[in-house]
Parts: sequence; C-alpha cells; structure tokens
Amino acid sequence: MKVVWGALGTAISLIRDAGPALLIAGLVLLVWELAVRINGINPVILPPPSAVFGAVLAQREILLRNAIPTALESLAGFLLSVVLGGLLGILLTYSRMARDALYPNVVLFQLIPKVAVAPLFMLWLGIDWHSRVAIAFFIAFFPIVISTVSGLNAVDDLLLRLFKSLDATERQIFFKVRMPSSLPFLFNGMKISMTLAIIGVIVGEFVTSQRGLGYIILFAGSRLETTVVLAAIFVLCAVGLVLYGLVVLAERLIMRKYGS
Amino acid sequence: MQTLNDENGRDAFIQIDRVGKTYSGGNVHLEVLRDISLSAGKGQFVSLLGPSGCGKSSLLMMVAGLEPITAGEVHIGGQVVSKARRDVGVIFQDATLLPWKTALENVLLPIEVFGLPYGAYRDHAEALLSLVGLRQAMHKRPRQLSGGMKQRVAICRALIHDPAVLLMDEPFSALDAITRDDLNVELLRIWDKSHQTALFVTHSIREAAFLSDRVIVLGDRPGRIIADMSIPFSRPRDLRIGETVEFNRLCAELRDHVAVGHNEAA
Repeated sequence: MKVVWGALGTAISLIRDAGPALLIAGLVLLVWELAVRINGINPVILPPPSAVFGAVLAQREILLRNAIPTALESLAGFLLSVVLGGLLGILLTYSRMARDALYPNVVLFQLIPKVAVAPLFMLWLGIDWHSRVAIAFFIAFFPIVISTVSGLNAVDDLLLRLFKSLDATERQIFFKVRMPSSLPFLFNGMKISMTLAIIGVIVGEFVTSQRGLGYIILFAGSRLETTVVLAAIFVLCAVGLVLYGLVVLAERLIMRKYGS
Repeated sequence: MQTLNDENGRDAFIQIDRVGKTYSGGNVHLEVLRDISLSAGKGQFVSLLGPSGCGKSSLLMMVAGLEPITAGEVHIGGQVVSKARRDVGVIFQDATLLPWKTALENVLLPIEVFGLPYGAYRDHAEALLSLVGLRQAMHKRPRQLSGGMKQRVAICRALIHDPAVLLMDEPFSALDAITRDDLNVELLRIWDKSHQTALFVTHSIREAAFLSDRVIVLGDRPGRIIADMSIPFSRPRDLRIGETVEFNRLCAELRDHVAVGHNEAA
C-alpha cells in the first residue's frame, strides 16, 4: 500500500513538474496552427495541429491497436538491453581478460549504423516481433554497457577501503557499495536506452511492414495522408513519453532508498 | 612466539617488529618507513606523532592489514597480520559513511558485513550513539549531519563489534578546533568503557598528549622512531589538564623531538 501511494505521489509530482514544458509545447502548436491558416498551406504538405488531433480522434482505434505492439516491443527490447547490457557491464568491470577481449569489439560494433543492418535482422529472424525486438535491443544496449561500467567504477575509494577493513567479500562489496553507487549512472543510461529502443522498433516496423505505428507512418506516407502520418507521430510521442516516464518513475522510487 | 613486555610489564598486544615500507614503481623506490619496532600493551592508548609524510599513516594501515608490509612483521594478539581482522576497528580521516544509510544503519554496517544477528546489536548501536549525543539524529542520513557528527558515527561504527584493537588515522584532522576538542573528550569517554588497545595517528602534539598513555614520535624520510614518551596523567582526563604546567612541559618536550626528527632529515 505504501508503495502504491509512493508511486502515485511521484506520478502527481511528475505531472506538476511538467507544467512549464506543456506551456511551451502549447505555444509551439498555437504558432503552427496560425501559420498554416494565415498562409493557407496545403494540408498535404503541412496540416494544422487541429486537423492532426482530429485525425487522432477519428483514427483512435487503429492508432491504439498499432501503438500497443510498438510500446510492448520497445519495452521488451529495452528490458533485454538492461539485463544483457548490465551483465556485460559487470563482466567488463570484473574481468580484465573480458575487458581486453570484448571492450574494443563492443565499441567497434557500436560504430556500425544499426539502422543499416535492420534488413538482415528481418532475414535472420523473420518479419514478426522477434526481429523488431532484436533491433531495439541492439540499438539500446550500448548505453547500458557504458553506464554500468562507469557506474561500477565510480565508487568512492574510501568506501572500498572501509569494506576491506571489515574483511568484506567481493560479493558484499558489489551489492552493498558498487551497485548502489552505480545507480545514478545506470538510470542515465536507461533513459537514453529507452528512447533508442523505440527508434529500433520503428525502424523494424519500416522494414518488416506488419503492424505498429512505424508501419502506419510508412503506409499513410505512401498515400500522401500527411494528417494520419502526423497523428501516428503524435501517438508515438505519447508512447515514448509513457515509457520514458516509467524509467523516471522507477528512478525516483529507487533513489528514494539509495539517494543521499 | 616470544612475547615482549612493554615498559609497564603488560603483555604486548600489538607488536610491530622491524617493519619497513618501500613503495616501488618501475625504477622508483621510495622508502617511507625503516626498521620500526614497537609494541603496545593490552589496553594501552598509543599515539604515533610525526610530520606529514613520515609514514605514520602507512604504518597504521599495515597494522590494519590494508597495506602490504614490505619488511618485518606485525602481530596482533600473537597472530601475524596478513589481512584485515574482525577484532579490529578502524576510524579513518574521512568518516566514509554510506550516503544512503541512516546513522544507525551505518553504525551497524560491520554487523551486517560480518553476518551477525542485526537485531542483537541494535540496542548496543543506540547506546553508542547516545553516548556521543546522537540519539536524536540516529535516523538521519549523512547528508543531514555535520562533519563532527559524521565522525562520531564513524567512532560508533568502529566500536559496534567490541573490537580488541582500535586503529585511528588522524580521525579529527578535518574538523575545526572546538569540535576537535569535543571529540577528543568523547573518544576518551567511550574508550574508558572498555579500554581497547589503541593506536592513534596524529600530527597534533597536544591531541597526542591529551589522549595517550604513550606517544611515539616519528621522524621523516624515511620514517623512524625518534622518541617514546610516557604520558603520566591519571584517567579520566578532562580538557583542563591542558592548562597545567606539567602538560605544557610534556608538549614542549614532544615538540623538541618532532623538530629533531624533521630537521635531521632535511
């Protein structure tokens, strides 16, 4: 119960904090609306925001049906990258051999533009969710590795000396000092990874053309339905905001225990 | 093994036997300590006094098992020191508290690490915190505590598991003079309860004289023993002994030894 109220309180404070940002977004939309109307711009080139919101409402069923797989696949790719990227980060921190052998290769791998290999994933894993989650994972996992490694190494040397003076085991040092000290770094990495995972899924949807908001964007774009494209992008932003918000929510709850 | 007796005829509990320390890196060899032999009797409070860089902290860290000993041996209770021991409590210059734990949880950290029953030590931890005036603050986190309060928590943490030996590395040197005096008094009050064998590293002559049964003066480059003086004041002591002629005469004598150790090397 306490956790539920804590989460609710955090959610409310997040919404309250969002006030100024919402104001700016509203102003931009207003300028956009006026500019389009005053200049009489062709809606195929740029429809006004009011038309986009109209399309969001009119197409809400199809947009929602396609937003759900996009969100779930992004979340799956993200979680996979947190687990495997975190484990790789721990391995790179603790094993000199792994660091020497793997770290340069991980960096090299990161230099491949992963969007370019998306068609290969489709060939290897098919056109269903497997390939989209895999692309999301491969884009999202690098920041997790980097932030885990820097977080685990950011521990205060004096705290390590204290634990050595207590004859603590490596396991105790990991769970009682290194991991809590690494959390701020890890959450920074997770925020970046969450947004990258969404990009990965959209790229996957472009390539596999099965379902999802990326598919809607591609399909409506090919038919010059600019309003629907923008409506899908708007829903995509909302999906991204919710997923990013989940990471921030987790951060606030956990840092309440592990913050200073 | 052979046990030495200190000058009061008590069994030596900490024995430092021809200990040296040389830091080696590539072609550079820096000898910071040479041929140090001293012993502290059970329950004795011994200060190591010397200028910065004389290796007194390195010596303490070797006794704590936190730094490799490059020559000689250290024995605690007859056993050779090769790593950190659980019958030793260490207070560092920095309080080094875990920022996400409360004062009480920080005090209980050794119990947690040793895997001892947490609940059984809780009363002891609260009693220790009360003894240093932190009963009200025991559920606060380090961020909410002053420097002096943090170091008080560190003292309690070093004593929670009733160690036989207390090792202190300039624990009050980062504090202001008034807080430092307070903590010296509180340290003695808490130490008087169980008389751990104590080694206290400091570069303050008055602090060494006030706290100790014995003050060992170290010279620098390389660190070696210049003098070994008994401090005869009865216990419990309070800060007023600092105003006595006898105390100031002792401090003057210590100051002369420190100056000799420093100038010889220079």
